[in-house]
Amino acid sequence: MQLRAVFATATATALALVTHAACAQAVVEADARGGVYHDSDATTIVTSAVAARAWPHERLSISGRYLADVITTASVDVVSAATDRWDEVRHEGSGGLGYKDADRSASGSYIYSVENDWRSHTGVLALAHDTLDHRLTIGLSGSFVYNEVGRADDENFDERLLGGTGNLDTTIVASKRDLVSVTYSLGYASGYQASPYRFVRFDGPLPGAQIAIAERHPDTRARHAVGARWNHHIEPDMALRSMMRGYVDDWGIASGTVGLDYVIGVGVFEMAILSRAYVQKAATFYREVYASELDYMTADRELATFFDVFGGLRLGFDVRDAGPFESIHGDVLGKAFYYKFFDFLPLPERYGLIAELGLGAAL
Amino acid sequence: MRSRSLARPACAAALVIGCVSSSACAPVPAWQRGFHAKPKMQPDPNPLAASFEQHVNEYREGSTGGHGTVGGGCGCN
Repeated sequence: MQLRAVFATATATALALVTHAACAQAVVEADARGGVYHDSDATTIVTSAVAARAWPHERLSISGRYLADVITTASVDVVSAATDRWDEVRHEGSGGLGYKDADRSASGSYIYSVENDWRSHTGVLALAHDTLDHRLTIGLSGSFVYNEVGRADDENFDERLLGGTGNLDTTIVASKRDLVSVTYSLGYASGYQASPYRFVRFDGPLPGAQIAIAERHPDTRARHAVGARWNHHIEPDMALRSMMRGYVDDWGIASGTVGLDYVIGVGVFEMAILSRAYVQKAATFYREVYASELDYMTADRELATFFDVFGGLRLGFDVRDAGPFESIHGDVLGKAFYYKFFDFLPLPERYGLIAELGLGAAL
Repeated sequence: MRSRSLARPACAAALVIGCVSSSACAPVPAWQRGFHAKPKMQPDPNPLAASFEQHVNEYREGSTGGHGTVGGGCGCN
């Protein structure tokens, strides 16, 4: 009940601010998006989000967003926690302020997320500066997150997880058809990083007897990621959007990601063919089977060795000067995916579908 | 030990970003940047859709970060 009141107040405040801004100046954007995720591990997630941004002054913007995830799962994770199935709803609300002039932009935002066993507060700051006659944009951003971790039906379980991330971005005009951007991210987390619902089994002192204990992860984690994106325009109205990313952390995980989207514009319509592939090496303390008790033990398949591939199609439209609207846009997206786990016995593979629908308008 | 392990990737990333940034000296006058202003050429043309995609991936993969946050190239960051 208290949660409903908080979100109702936040939504009313955001709408009032946006309405006030709309009266002050006729530049308001609003977007809504819904998506369904379903996979072969008996997990379905329905996500809905609404977002709005308004410019009360030509250089100042305010924005707000609300997102809800409804999760229904009977995954191997849930079964290993001796539960048949669970349902959960996560709410996330955010608000932000932005400044932008000819050469610089700055923004700050706050995000609050809550579910039955998790609550988090996140602050984000971002700065960007155009230089060399707008041929080079340099950006710096940072975030700090404070998490309160609980466990359903256990009031005594109360853990904390703190994290920070810093990003350095550059975007470069490489030619009249090419934009290249490179990003470095450093992340650091400290606190409880395991799941209170996952248990690890290993052989006990008696022959044939196994012991199950809650998984144990290191308290700290440092992460590094370098990503590059290259967007190439092809006449008359097409673009190749490619990306690659390398990642390492001090848990021993190393991963690589590549992606390629081919975007074709035909008048107000747009079609995009989407593809992405990811490969990961396991954390050093991950074991397919634990023969004995170790300092760190995990049953988290996201720390195993695996690869995944995604492929899909997006169809969209963007109509300018449509009646009272500066623009109306929308898209429908469908993706299929496949994961292959090389050393996770309960789930050797996972596949599924993602469908999304987005609609938006600028006034 | 930990500070060394943090410093190496950070230095390598700074070197890569520095080298790539130096290529921005290639002169492309403002009137030739019409393509860059198109939404399909922007690093993040649909933030809400991008947040959905990152949400799916970061919950199911062991890595995170490395996604750009700024636009640019046409004075429209």
